[in-house]
Amino acid sequence: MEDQVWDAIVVGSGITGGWAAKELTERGLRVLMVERGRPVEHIKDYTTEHVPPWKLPFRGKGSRKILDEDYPIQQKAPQLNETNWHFFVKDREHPYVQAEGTDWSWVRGNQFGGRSLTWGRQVYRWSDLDFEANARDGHGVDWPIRYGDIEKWYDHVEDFIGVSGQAEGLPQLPDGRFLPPMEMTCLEEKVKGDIESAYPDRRMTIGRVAVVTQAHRGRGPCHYCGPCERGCSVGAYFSTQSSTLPAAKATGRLEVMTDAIVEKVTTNADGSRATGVAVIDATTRERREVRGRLVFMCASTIGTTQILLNSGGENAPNGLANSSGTLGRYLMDHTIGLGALGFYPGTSYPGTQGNRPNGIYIPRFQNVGESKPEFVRGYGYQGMAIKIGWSAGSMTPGFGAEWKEQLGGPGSWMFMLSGFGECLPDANNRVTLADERDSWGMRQAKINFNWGENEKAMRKDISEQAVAMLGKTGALQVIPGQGFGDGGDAIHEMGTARMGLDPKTSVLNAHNQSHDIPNLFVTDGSCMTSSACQNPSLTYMALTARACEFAVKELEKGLA
Amino acid sequence: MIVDRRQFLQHAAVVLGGALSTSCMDAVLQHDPGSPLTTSRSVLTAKQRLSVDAIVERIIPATDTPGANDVGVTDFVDFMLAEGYRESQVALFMTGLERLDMMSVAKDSPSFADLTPEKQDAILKEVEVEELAANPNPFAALFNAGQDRAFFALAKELTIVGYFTSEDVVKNQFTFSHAAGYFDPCAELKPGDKPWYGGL
Ligand SMILES: Cc1cc2nc3c(=O)[nH]c(=O)nc-3n(C[C@H](O)[C@H](O)[C@H](O)COP(=O)(O)OP(=O)(O)OC[C@H]3O[C@@H](n4cnc5c(N)ncnc54)[C@H](O)[C@@H]3O)c2cc1C
Repeated sequence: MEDQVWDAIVVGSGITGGWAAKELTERGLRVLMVERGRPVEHIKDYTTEHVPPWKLPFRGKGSRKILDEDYPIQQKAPQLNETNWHFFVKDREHPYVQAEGTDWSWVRGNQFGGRSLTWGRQVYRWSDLDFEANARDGHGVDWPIRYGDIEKWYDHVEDFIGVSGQAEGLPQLPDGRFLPPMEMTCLEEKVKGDIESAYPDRRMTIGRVAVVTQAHRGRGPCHYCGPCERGCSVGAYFSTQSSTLPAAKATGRLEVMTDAIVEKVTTNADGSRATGVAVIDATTRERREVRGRLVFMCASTIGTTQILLNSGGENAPNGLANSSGTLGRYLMDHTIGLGALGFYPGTSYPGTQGNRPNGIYIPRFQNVGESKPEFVRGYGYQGMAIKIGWSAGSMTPGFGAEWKEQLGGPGSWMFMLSGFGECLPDANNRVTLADERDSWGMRQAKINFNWGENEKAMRKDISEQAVAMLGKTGALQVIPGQGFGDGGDAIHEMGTARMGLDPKTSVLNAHNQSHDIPNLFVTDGSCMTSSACQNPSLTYMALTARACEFAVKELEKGLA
Repeated sequence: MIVDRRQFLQHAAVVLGGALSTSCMDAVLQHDPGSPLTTSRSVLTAKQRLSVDAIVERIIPATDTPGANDVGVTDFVDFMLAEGYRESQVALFMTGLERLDMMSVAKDSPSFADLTPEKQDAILKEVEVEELAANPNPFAALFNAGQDRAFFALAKELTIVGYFTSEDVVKNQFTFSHAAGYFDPCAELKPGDKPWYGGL
């Protein structure tokens, strides 16, 4: 491996790394994928899949002790529990620094497959409302692309990963290439009807989700067991393991290196071209270099930024590919928080059978059309009807025989709406390198982040509108959400190596290519010029696939 | 409809038109879904176990269905206290147990476990009313997952979880499947139907 020059090196094996590996190998390149974490093998390593509750040591409740010792930050992801915590990092092994006054949750899984194993699978296209937003209101720099540039790549990605959803014909949330949608429960149908008739400008649709509802490219349809995050042996949800890895492997041109921490991107003497990456063996701590004609950075927003900042040599004291000085700046996340909970009488809606790994979505309605709130941009809601059965017992006063009967019964219903709000790019929100090092000797990422006034104004509205909407749905009681998440809580961190037209104010061009170093591409969330309010991973995938096509053509023209 | 793992995978293989290879099927079928819970760790003394036996059985007594003692809830509580909580929470629980004994003395009994069920209920009721007065928002637990729970609130929560996740209760009182194979969004329960066991 040492003497070999790969056509491309892909750093990271998560959602975007998997896509880069697939696209580049399918276009004929010999690719080395370098992943810092342990290998996770499809099927074999899904050790908790379908384990019934009585066989879980903590019966699914987890352990406060283990959560507090090993996962003090990771546990802020509500999805984390004892059945999947092995797919999240142990915080003390993977430290980072939060600047004074910053609360930033860096939620991640350093293993083969990255967060593709644990993600929520919600996938929404962006529209020109989003790609034109910066140009329209002047926050941030203009995106160098528009919806028309990425539309066919959304098609390409959706066709491959399989997305179930309902076409709605909304300009702010373009329809995709959908597999049959999942169904709404009776209560969800009722809430949808009530909200849509009270608010003609609002729509509630079933979640668009990267879970296949029919056999798709060798992957089995969802069997509605529920907790995808444990891993899925039939491959019903999109992950690197279920989807992009098999495709890349099938070409015979992919090599994978795990437990290999990329420390730096290496360059030629004048720093004008990347030559490969410097790697630390996670177990032996041995250091070595691997060489490639192209380098694709897919190590996740903060991971990639940390590597690039750390790659600056004499030619680039502020980090590689940073002649603009914007690398690390404009860190964004979505501002999330519970909008409201509504409670409904128990017997008025039937129950469900099967566990649907998906909820509902209310697309953005603020600053769309006529609405003119006190803030710019907007937010969407995710939500669902939730059956509250026996688990509500600890919140229900009483005990004894009668109370027990009630708990074992069909239970009542709750409806949850939580908002995901757009975050504006702010130069002060940034990733830098701390003086502290991790146990491999690499300088830790340091995060400076504060929510801005626009996000704060938006949060208020997220809560108020949710309460008002559920108020129209026959709820016995509606309670407003309490508190909003810290930075990072939406796990949609992005923006630190933004795309732009001007090399002076952005790191990447319209093809995710470094303005400074033409054989260096960054296609994870760090490339994002604005944050929109939709879950971003579908857009990362589309941009990755698009960049791969471009890079291969450039390589053929003699790029590196 | 309850589908076991083998049936489910066979079903999946049919739907996939054989795309799921036999070797892959074998791998899934041979994979042992976890080993049964061994409650090796324990912090409760024999005397404390008797108290916990009594408390959990008052919370979920045997009726025409099993009670907490029938499905080993005390073992679960003990395991959780040993492995599942911070010291501060465990200490708070132990103090709660002691206090029950002290309250029992006033009812002429050396310990809570020796009281009649009626007297035990009266004491637990008193404790619950007190706790609710101190923390009237029943949903607080939803938002404050990181904080220690009050004694009786924790006892109730552990009893409920221990009981409603036990094999006996899940299999006999609910419709349970780890792979339904379908989603019915509006399933009317007919008399005699068992509710769906969600959240696997
Ligand atoms: C619980 C949860 C729910 C989510 N839900 C959604 C959702 O519904 N919709 C949505 O769009 N997004 C969702 N996300 C976010 C989504 O997972 C990320 O946007 C996505 O995974 C980003 O892809 P990525 O390839 O950039 O990073 P990742 O998938 O995180 O992969 C990065 C990989 O790079 C590796 N790496 C990092 N540093 C190095 C290094 N120095 N050397 C070598 N390798 C390195 C990591 O180990 C990892 O494997 C969710 C995330 C979580 C955790």
